[in-house]
Amino acid sequence: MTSSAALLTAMRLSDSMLPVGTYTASYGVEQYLNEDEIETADELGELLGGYLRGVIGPAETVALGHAHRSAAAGDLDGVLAADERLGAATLPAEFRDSSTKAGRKLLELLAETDGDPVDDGGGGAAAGDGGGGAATGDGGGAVDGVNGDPAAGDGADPLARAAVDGTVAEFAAACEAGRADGHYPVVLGVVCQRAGLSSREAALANAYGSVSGLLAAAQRLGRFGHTAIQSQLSALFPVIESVSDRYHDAELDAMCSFAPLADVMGMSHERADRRLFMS
Amino acid sequence: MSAADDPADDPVVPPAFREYGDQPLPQSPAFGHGKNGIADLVLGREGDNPTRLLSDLVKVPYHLTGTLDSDPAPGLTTVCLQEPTGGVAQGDRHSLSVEARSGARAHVTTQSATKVHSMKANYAHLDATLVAESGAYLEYVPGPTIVNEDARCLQTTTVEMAPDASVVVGDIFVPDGLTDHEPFGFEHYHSRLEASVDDDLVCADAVDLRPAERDPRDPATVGDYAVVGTLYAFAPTAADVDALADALHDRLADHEVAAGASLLKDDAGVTVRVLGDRSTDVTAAVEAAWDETREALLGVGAPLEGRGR
Amino acid sequence: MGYRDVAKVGLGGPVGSGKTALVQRLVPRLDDAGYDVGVIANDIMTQEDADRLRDSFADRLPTDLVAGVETGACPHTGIREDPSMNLAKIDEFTERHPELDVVLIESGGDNLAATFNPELADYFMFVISVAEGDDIPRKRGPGVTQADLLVVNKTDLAPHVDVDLDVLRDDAETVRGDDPTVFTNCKAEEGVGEVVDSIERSILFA
Repeated sequence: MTSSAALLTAMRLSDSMLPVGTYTASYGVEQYLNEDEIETADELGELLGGYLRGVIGPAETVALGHAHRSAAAGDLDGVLAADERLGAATLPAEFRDSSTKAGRKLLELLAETDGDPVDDGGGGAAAGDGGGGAATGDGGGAVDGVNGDPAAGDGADPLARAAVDGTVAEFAAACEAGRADGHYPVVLGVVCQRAGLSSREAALANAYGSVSGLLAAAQRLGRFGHTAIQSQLSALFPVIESVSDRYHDAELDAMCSFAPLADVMGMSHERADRRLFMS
Repeated sequence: MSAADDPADDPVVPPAFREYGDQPLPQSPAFGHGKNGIADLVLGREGDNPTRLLSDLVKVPYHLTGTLDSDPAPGLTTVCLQEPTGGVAQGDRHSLSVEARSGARAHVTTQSATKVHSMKANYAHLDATLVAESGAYLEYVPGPTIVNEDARCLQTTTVEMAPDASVVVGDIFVPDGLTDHEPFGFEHYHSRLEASVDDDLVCADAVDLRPAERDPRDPATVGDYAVVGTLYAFAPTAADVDALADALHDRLADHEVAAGASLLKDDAGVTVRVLGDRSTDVTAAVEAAWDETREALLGVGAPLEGRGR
Repeated sequence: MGYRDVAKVGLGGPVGSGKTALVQRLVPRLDDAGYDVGVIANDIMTQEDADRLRDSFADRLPTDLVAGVETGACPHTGIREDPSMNLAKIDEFTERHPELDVVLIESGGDNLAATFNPELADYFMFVISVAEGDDIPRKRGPGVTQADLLVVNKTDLAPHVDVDLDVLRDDAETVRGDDPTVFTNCKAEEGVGEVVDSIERSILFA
């Protein structure tokens, strides 16, 4: 069972008010609209379904899942491998930029907001144990491990200290030192693991956040009504679920990313004459 | 088949293909005579002399008559692999390995398109390993891979290069049915290109398509297009990869294709993605991108007119 | 070095009030005063805009200290709710130019409710123009009431648009209390010195 605090964290991390610049990314959607490749809400839904099945599932979710497992095992190298491979699988430079900017901002944000050790006596010891405790558990067991931590029970922010604790801090340092890029799904995988969310839940949060962000981007570009957008969002839920189920525990080597038309759109957007979005 | 050849031990073969590999072939076994094609080529160059083939180990169905030195680029030699059997069948395992030693310049291609025939069992594997040492310039621009109805095709390409080497790889994927030419009639196509500069992974472009499970004709994947091409120009220490990306993008603007160019991770070069309705359009665009890349990296264009497919 | 190590001046205000013109007047003066300056313009929409922006500072600033930030059709989000992409850009600036003293951040044209996130701008000026009418301060939009400095631009147009500058001045005083208001005519460089003085006094000398 996911604790209430972990669920709240999942909502926080997939909320569009999370200040990591998501509103500046359209991952090619702006170009599709500029070139009139997408005109109806149904076509927009098909595009996002394609993203989910071709990129968010087999690339982002695979990286996220591997990062989550690696964080549970205290294995920084595993996190770095997921980050490197996701970057190598993402061909449009703007897509990589949007992803790494958001990822790094999330790391910075959490270091700022959730980084200070809570002064509650036992909390210090629990934080010290956090990495070791998680390292002995398997991916699924991490939920219980964190819930078993008295400092992370219901009512406490499960991200408290996460940002200065073990793998999150090590990964942030690696990004800072230029040894990693800090792709958003990888950061999310690590952070969610520390917060007591399973990799499947983290995958759902990532896919939901991506889809809602892209739908919102399309809406701001001005062609779709609010009910049409919400209809597409709910229609995409089964796809979000199925790609999260299918890919959250996949091997890192199995990562694929195939959305050549979206790649072309993203690449064209880099040189577009008119642009409201960074990607 | 010896245990050492067992693809189950080969990490490059994904699980689904390992399962296909267990399926017996009616006529001749996988790795039987003529099914296990091998070409191991080593190329070297002394100073400003032409690049020479230092060693070659070639097994049928691959065939190599020699090298051609007609390329306009100084010192660059052309290796054209021939494959007289006319296509790739179930159980075929083709493995190409090219090593360009320090300073060598080579262009490796195939005589024609590679047709992956329809299958009833097992799968076909086309593997290429390209190694470029310091200062080497290596091109691998084979003909299109045509994947027919019910085919299962695994295509793996590995690039290992020194930071001051250049490697250009072209790939054209034609999902074409034999009978009614309805695209995406194949059963399973898995293609993976991985490129490392020293030990850093700069490109891991991988696709896994099973059209019966999911039709790739959505707006993110191929839309209404039928043919996908990619040109990878790995040039980690090239002077101005930004300019190359812009030049490639502009060059393809007039082609009858949807195309884009973007910088690779770590600015290790440029990739060009191309989608088109017809194989000839995509081939022309990929070759134009190859020409532009050559111009930027060697100062000499590609010998396009001699390709005659 | 990072965004915390430089002074950040935010310029907000409605479309067409003259934010860009003011930035173009401020940069040479700050430059002449010996400050190393960077400029970020939110919502540069076309390639032409971006080129023009860079060209306009070509003789003053290194091109990599002049940048656009796209805000996904949300100009207020970029400066208020989620300034992360502006901060990321300033981090890029300071990485390349550790000597940087001050960054001018021009918001995309927005409504009277737009304010700068205090973590993004150490000093926030709101720019309106007399051409928008003399009732703007009276509307008490958060931009007008909360800015560290209200700039009323295009004073030269007042007679042509039937605006009484005294009314504007009185209203601004009423809604802003002791906070300063400056009248400028960027075209003639009038009042620009006062704006520079305010910036210097408030954040650069501090």
